[in-house]
Amino acid sequence: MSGLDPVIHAPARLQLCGILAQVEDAEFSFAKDRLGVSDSVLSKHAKALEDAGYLAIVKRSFGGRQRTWFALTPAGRAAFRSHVTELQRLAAVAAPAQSERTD
Amino acid sequence: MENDAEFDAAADLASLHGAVDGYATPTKGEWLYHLALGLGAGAMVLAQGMDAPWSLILPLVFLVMIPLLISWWRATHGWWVSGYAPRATRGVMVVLLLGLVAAALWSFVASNVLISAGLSAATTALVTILGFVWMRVWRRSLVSRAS
Repeated sequence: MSGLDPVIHAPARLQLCGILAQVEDAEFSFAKDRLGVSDSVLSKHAKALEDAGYLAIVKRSFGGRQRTWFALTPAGRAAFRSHVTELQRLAAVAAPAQSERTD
Repeated sequence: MENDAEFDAAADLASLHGAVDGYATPTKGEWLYHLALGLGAGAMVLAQGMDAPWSLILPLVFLVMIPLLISWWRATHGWWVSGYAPRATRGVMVVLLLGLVAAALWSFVASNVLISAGLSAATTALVTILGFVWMRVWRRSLVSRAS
């Protein structure tokens, strides 16, 4: 698996990290809409990231309604950056190999 | 495995492009946040040229207003990004903070409250406009990073 982080590697977790990496925090329903997954699937992926120390899950009240918010921890941000760097390296290696095959 | 990993790498990177789409479009009513922040900053500048108790009350109101505005943004957008965090927007923040400090100092030493009122209006305009500029620069940086 080279330098890829197995915790982040799952597509939904990678995209969740991609959403959260741009902001301080995002709400559960915002992330769910962006990912197009069910509540239970998102909860499962969020729990996996939380267990790895990559995600902080916070409950906040707005207008009497409690909402769940996600934020990447500093360790999560660093892990996501490393993962993306590794993906870019692998993609760069793959690109010339693929163009050779098509020639 | 190596070939699979290489193929997945390009697909995974492409999937990340979609992750920023949720931030791309300004939300309805976003201008209200920029205007409210501008008015609050303007009131703080005006307070520097006023006597007590307004010189204390207005900055306090501004300080209380900031977390309320952030809560409103979070509730309406579903996400929050700190004005200081993104690297691409730091230039905008520097201009905003320098303008704010300069206006506050000028208002403080001004001999007439009308000068403070003028500086307050200018600060409201500056902070409101730079709010829009900040969002534009940030959104552009997200798109360019993703492409």
